Amino acid sequence: MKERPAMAVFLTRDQLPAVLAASAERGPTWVAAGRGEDSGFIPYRPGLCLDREAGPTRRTLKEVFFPRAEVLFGYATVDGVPRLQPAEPSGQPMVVFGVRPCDARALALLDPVFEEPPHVDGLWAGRRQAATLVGLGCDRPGPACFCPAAGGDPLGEEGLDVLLVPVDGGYLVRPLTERGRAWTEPLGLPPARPEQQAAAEAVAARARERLAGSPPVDLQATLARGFEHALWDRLHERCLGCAACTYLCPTCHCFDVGDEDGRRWRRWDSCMFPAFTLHASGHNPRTTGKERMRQRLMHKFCYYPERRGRPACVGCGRCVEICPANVDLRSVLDQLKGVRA
Amino acid sequence: MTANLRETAARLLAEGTVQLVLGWERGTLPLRTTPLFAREPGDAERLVYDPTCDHNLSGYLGRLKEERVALAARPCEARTLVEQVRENRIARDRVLAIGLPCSGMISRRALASRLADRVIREGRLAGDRLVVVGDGWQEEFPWVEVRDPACQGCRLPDPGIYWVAPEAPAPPEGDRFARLDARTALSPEQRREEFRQAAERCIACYACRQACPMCVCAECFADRTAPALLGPTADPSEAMLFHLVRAMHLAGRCVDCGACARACPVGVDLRHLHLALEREAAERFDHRPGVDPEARPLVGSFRPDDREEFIL
Repeated sequence: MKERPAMAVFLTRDQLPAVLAASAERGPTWVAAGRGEDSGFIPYRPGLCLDREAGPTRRTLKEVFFPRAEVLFGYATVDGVPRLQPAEPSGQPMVVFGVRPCDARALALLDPVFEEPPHVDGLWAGRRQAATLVGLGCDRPGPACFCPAAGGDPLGEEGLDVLLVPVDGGYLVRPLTERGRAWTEPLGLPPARPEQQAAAEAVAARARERLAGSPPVDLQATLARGFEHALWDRLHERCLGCAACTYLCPTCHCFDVGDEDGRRWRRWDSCMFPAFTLHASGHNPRTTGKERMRQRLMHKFCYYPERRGRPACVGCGRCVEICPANVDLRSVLDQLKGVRA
Repeated sequence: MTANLRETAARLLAEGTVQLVLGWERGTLPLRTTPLFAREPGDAERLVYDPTCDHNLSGYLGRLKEERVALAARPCEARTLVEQVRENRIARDRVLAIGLPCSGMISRRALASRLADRVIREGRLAGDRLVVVGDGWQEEFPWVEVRDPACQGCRLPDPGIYWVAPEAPAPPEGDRFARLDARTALSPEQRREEFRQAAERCIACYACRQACPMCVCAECFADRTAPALLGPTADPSEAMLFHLVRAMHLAGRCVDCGACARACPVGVDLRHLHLALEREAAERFDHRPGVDPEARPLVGSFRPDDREEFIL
């Protein structure tokens, strides 16, 4: 999607509310907002402004494109003939504001999962095609952030249409795609001055400095060899077996289906639940937390890289923040690195 | 206190009295701890104990394979152990409860609210003072100012459950049910709306259930698939049903340790439901969870003088 670089422009902080309001007049607009455990992507309402906290919002961007539960199709028998009515995305152009680079990368990791032919998920693809993602660079990564270890960057551009870099007084606005330029140009913003460009570079350098010391994780070969390693017996010990880490993970995308009132729903599901692999026979191949936690890590750091060439983790640190038992993915990965199977 | 605990744990492991000591060690984020499964005497050095040790450890007991274990036990762990013993889930002589004095836990939620959700980069306890450091700011105040409100009026269990009784138990004073009384000002409609909003936030990750040491069903009704008792939608009525059934299953068993509210990643706190049922059990049946390991469980007991005016 990335073509010629466009000139960066400057948006003052005072202008931002008007930009959000104008966007909301044109179509559905989501904003990263709220504080702490209350934060997430919420539909625009007057007064809503970009979140200025460190790190990502608690709830993820995936919810905008892959909601917790949604109807896939309706079914009924009309005059003795069974009929299906597939759900269609509205297709109305929408804008998402304040997307952290980690969340945008997560969408880029999910695109092939939902859109690889021949099985194109219409709901996902439709929403993706309709969306302009306006990113907000991470000037102050949070204490759980580790995006460089996952191959990301606090000012990363992958998956974004526009990147805002927060600097004193406002944002350096970098259109990154055609769609991003189409969003930026009507704003009629002045070109960024050299000192504003320099300030943005300084923000990037500071953010990277803060995250220094998390080199990229490449565990694919180690995990492929270490499926039966004794370490798994201990790794899961503290894990409670809830789905907080998977449901708040921007790349976890498993779902289950169920019917209600003539409609087929899909709803998030988690490999951390025993019922996830429960067979109709009553047999369950993953009987304990050990097998379930191993599956979560293998999927992210072995199976996905085998198919797509990179891990299915963006280092947003949400799983680290929210784990009730403080099972820290970063230390789990460190331990796995030491495995010599 | 940490020194005593480490010493006791190391001795128990070295002597072979127990094969495992369950406690806490420093976590990976400011003011967080994480469960420690100490199996070697040397592991005991990692044990810590302070008001950040907020995760109820007794929930792990049921999955341990070790023959005999020692449990670092705040009143919350001890009350849970009482319940587990009286429900025959844990053999009493399998667990050596090392009693720890407790004057409440730091509530991360209360702390976040006091700091207006600014990000904490570093936090430490210096005696009674809590020092928190962020980006270009530092604050210091008595930690009890961000004590979990639910620690108020904490009850100590029957000391009979302890292997080593805590030295100077100093539970925070106050009335536990005061939290409920404050809610009586709300109309039923307001309470229903508040509950609906909480259910709307709930993402059904079941962290509350998994963190709860008394949620012990081999298969939770919420996980049933044939028949499925919860629908596939994200309608708040699904979460309301889940939380109400969970509350009913915990009536007379919930020891009000707060693990559920702490575990919730999106800030749902429905402890008042459990507390209301606890008061109901106390007022109607003189039943108090977590006190007497010999007492019969609430639902497993019958007395001719039970009040039963609701039976037609």
